[in-house]
Amino acid sequence: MTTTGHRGQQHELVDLAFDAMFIRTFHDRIITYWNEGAQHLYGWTRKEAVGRQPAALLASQYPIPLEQIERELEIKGRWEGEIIQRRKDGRTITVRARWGLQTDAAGEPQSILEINSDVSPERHAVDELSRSEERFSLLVSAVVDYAIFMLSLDGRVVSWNEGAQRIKGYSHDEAIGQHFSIFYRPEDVANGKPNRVLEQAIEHGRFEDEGWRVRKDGSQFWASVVVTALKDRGGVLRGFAKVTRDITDRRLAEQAREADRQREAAELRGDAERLAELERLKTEFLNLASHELRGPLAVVRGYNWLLRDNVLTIEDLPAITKVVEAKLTQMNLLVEQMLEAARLEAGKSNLNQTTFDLRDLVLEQAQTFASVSDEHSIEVVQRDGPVMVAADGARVGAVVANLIDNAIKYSPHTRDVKVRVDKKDGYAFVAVRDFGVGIASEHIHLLFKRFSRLPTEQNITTGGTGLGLFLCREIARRHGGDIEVESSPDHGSEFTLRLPAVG
Amino acid sequence: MDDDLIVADMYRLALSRAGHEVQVANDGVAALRAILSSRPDIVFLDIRMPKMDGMEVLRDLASADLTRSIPVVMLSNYDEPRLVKESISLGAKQYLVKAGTNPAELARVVSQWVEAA
Repeated sequence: MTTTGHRGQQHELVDLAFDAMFIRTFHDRIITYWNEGAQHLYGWTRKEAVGRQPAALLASQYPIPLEQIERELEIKGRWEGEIIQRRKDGRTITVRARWGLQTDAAGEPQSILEINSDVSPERHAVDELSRSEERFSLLVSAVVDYAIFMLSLDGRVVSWNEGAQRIKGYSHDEAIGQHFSIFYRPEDVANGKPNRVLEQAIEHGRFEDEGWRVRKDGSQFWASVVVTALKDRGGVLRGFAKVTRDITDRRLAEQAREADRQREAAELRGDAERLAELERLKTEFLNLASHELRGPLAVVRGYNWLLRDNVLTIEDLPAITKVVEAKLTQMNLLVEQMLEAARLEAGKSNLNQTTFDLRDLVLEQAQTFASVSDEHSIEVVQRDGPVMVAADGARVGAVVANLIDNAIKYSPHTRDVKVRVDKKDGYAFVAVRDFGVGIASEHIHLLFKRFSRLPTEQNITTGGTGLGLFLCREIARRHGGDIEVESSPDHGSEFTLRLPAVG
Repeated sequence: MDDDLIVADMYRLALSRAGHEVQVANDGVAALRAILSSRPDIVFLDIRMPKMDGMEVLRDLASADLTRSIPVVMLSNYDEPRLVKESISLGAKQYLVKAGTNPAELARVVSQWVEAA
């Protein structure tokens, strides 16, 4: 060693130090001394290092420019900081550098003693840890959709995040130290649920659940919960992590969807039922209609047979021909009704509009019916002066016929049927009044329904297809009018056909 | 027995022209009363009647000693098999559908079921 004695001793001591130490000249920055520690830390041998510049040799990255460091050294005599350097094998390291300035007798900077210690592993770990701690903290605190908090072994809250506050309502300070059973409903606590939760977490490592939880203000929410048992590296239970999400909305949405589904199903069922009912009514109607035809048919055939077999005398004929004609009219009416109903249903019926005096039509119909029933007298009262309408004569005739027919049918014990033709407020009226059985007020709404027949004793024995009034109203409405009824049980009824008047 | 007066009239005409004495009733109750009081040799019974329908009348007739032996022929416009079966099982001799029956036939039916007086 080509060193002076004292210097030599110093150097020996320095050599013993673990840390990397080297000396370099101030101005030229040439390494003049290189210790074992430096050799160990950097990989360069003394021989390789002495005579080189540290910056170049070690690819030093200084926190602030080197010149600034040297300025500081001149002023303060020392400097401390972290430098990133490169070993001989290329590995990057971080060192904590402590530099001291050596001056000559005159105080001029001569050389710098650099003592560098490797803080790379620590640094990485600390960095990593603090970065990761920071990241995690950020994550947990920033997450507002999830309550993320930790419980001690005995179930007390030891941490609390934004989400927990938002979801459960307790602030950080209010929550810390509380037993987590405060989040459960009283009935669940009584049931021992919170303890079961922890037991499950311990046994299986985790516990997952959906259920009602309680907020600070007492309100309840539907929660999705995961409780995880936290064990250290030795496998010892240290506490629990709880993540809770408020899924009340989702549950409400699910329930709403379920309700919708059920409602739809009910609607479909209702539709199916209605269709089935309609089918049933149709079949019933067809049966009823064909049966109805049998009545008048029996009479017409019967008398025809009697005529053929010479049972009838000449004297019988006038009365009988009247009867036969009435029955044929009745059959015709039935057939027309059935056809009309079919037509209306198929959506095709064009009104054959002509302009005519309603009085004429009513008179004609009344006369036809006069022959049908000897027991009834049909009186027509008409306004002076024409009652003109623009309408389908055949159809309106059918309506009037129907009304008169009903009046007769439903007054088996009374005689009078009064028909009135009038005009008022731009409408023409035909009112057919009978004094027979009348209609109960609770049945009135059924009158005009298709296929419907009132559920009365009378109707068991009175013929009819149930179509008449429905068709009548349809026809009236097609013309821009309507049919109204006023009735009182045992006092009779008045049906009024209303049509727009012209002229 | 028929609630339809016109139909009843027609049968009355046919039967009386054939030499029979005819009584007409227009509802089930009147029918029973008439049968009990005048004890006819044969009854033609409609089914659809007010106050009491033909089947009920038939049942009553079949259960009473006084009337059990009177032959009853159903005369209806219903042609349902179950009605035919029921009435026959209750004791009716025959089931005729009005619309398909020549009224003059009724006289023949009478002689079929009524023993020569």
